Amino acid sequence: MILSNLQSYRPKDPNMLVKERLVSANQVEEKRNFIEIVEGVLAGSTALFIDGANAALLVETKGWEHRSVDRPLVENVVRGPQEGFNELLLSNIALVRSRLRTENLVSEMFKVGKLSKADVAVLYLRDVANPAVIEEVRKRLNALLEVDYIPDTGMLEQFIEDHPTSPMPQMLSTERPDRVAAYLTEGHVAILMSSTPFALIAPATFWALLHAAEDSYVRWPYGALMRAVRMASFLIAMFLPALYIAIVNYHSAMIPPDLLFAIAAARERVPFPAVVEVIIMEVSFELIREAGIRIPSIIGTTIGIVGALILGQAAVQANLITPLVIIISALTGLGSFAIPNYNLSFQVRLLRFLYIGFASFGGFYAMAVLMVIHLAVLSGMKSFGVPILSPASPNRPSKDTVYRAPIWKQETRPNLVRPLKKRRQPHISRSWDPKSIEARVNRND
Amino acid sequence: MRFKQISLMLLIVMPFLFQTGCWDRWELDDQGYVVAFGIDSAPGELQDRVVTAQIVIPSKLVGGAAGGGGGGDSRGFFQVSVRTFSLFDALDVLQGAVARRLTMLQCRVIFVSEDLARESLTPLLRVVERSPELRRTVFVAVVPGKVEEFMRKNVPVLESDITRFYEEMSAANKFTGYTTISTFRTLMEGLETPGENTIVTLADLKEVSLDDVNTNPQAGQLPRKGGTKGDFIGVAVCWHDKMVGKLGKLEAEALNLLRGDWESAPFSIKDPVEPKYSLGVNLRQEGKPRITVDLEDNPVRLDVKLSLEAFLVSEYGRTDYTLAENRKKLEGALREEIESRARKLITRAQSEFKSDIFKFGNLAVKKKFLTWAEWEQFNWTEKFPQADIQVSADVKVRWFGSATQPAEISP
Repeated sequence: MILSNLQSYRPKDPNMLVKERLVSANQVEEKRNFIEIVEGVLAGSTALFIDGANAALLVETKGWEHRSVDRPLVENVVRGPQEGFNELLLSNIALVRSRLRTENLVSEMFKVGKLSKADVAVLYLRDVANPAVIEEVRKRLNALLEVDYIPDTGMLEQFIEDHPTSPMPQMLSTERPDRVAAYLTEGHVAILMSSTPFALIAPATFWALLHAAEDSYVRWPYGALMRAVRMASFLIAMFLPALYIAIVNYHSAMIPPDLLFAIAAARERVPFPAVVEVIIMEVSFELIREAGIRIPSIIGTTIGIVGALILGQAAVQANLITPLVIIISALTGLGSFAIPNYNLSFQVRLLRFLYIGFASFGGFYAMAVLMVIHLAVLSGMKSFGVPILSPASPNRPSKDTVYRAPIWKQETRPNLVRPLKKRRQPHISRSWDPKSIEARVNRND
Repeated sequence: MRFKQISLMLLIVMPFLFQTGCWDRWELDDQGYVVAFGIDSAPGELQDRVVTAQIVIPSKLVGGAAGGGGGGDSRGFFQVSVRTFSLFDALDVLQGAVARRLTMLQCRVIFVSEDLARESLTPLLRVVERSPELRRTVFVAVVPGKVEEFMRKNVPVLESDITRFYEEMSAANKFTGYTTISTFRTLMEGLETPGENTIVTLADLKEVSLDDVNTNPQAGQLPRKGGTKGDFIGVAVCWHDKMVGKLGKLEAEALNLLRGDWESAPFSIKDPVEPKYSLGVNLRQEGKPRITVDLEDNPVRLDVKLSLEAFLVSEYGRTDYTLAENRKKLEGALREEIESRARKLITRAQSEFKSDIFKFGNLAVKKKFLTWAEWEQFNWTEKFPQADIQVSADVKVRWFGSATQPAEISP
């Protein structure tokens, strides 16, 4: 069939014929020098010699090696899809597109970095996302042309976020295509980038950072329980050591006598003040955590032995630490591991030390002062125009913050980004269920 | 601008931090915890006191069984007495003998000797009122004997921790009904509220031989052997801030019923059919007593109605109280017993103590007045001893324990 075309077009040079009509690759070069041809072949191209021609064709056939679509490494779920993004931008977009088969899913391509010229895709639903947010993302990305090198969304995030000096993360990074798709349907914008498996979602609120993909995949009572546990773990990770310091140093009347005397007896053998004890444990815990990430995986098991034996047992036996402090720092550690967002858990780790400092200085009083300042700062922050604490402050009724309402009751999209379409499912989704209809009718809405 | 913002922020934050500071910070192991105070009068002309403090030794408490053995010290606390002028002086002076900073934060109980209580309770209350360390829930008990001796000898047998011992001892009235839970709060209430008077738990220790008989014992009068040395039975009655008398077990029970403090507790009477036997019920009060007041009458007339439920739990006789007519007899006997005890107690309070320990004034008579001035002018304290107070009890036997009828002994 291809040869039939040759009838009408007959250039003099057979090479031209092959190059323009037969080779389907998009980069073909003519080479007359053997050294160049050899170099080309070594770099992965294919050389094509044709009888009667005075030059060889060097055909571009390079294929980059990349990771195949794999399980997500950071955001694991028990129930739900088990695929995560990889480093290939086009396959990442395809993963999202396979979940949202609508012509309204737009991916706008940008280039960032003068040297890296990395491809960035901005994904949104044309008929849902708020144009103001999209325009804001475009504006911020276009400003990055003069920056040398931006290889990862982690760096991109720092260039485009609202408050770059605050410890509070203001964008949600995720490696799960299902999560990206879910946020797109709520009117958020996703930023994907070549050579990184982490997508950014903007705007993000504090509550979104505490959510996990699984919350919606399990039935709502379980999802609500998981969210409550996660909120508790956030509070524990943030405040528990500081609370301990405050109570033990300033408010000992609060402790039941049995416990008080037990702590006092254990503390008698320990030479440090309580706050030093707590800081020793917290610092050692941070050491274990950091070492655990950096350690080559072959010798990784030693971390557990060192952590458990030296810190857990030996420190108590050597009378350096009281057992209660070990329990507290273990609970704190567990709490911070249960925070689903890596950035948020960093924030918690940082601020925890601040709270410990304030608690050791002025007990509950200083903690309360710091908490007021903390909340004031948080409520003043915005992510792409959306207050970071919304819908709690400013207060708008929402069915998806710490408590997650049943999925069939979440009829409208969250109003955070003012999406173009409010309703996402009919008034009565369970229309086959007489009880469901009755309940709706009784509520008169 | 930036500098201005930061310095403004610091200006706002710094004063907060200087409000309180490290000088309020005390490590747990640098403090000595006083869990109980005792106040005795001291001999001589000076108005001084013997103050006894029990201080916890945390390391001995946690050692638990390993530390074992008899005597006060190995029980996880030690006791110091000092002769001084007040509770606070005592804490100050004791500091010279105890290396750690003494604190009253965990103080659970204060024992006052009877002679001091008869003098006045006000000096003691003044201390507690002002002290930020002492809680209002600190338990107060009057000890007729020597407080120092009572505290020294009354060591816990069941509990390893003396704090626990005091806490549980003071809460026991919830299910005994023959004493009261008197704390600083109830004391202050009784003293400050016009129309009621305060009552305090009695505690004492004395060896009473099992050969003796006492049907209406007060603390330290119960024929008993073994266990802890002291007991908490009966009530000390106050008139204003002075103790004026003591009530034994039977009177304290009637007092709790009349005050509405009775929750659910055992109550025994003589068997109405076979009076040589005793009969035990579990008595439960249905709500507070209903009191109707007639101010027109002279003297003022009060009708007190008690509603009670009884569960028959023990009988020695052979009468089958599950039968309707016997149940009526039982209810009648209970009613009579309660009414007669209450009447006797009210007469005693009116003639002997002249003190409205039943809170009738505050709970019922006060409600007859629209303004506080009228109520104060009425002067209930003066009128109480002459008032005509009638008591009627409504007792229903509702349940007969776990059996529907008594065991039938085969011929």
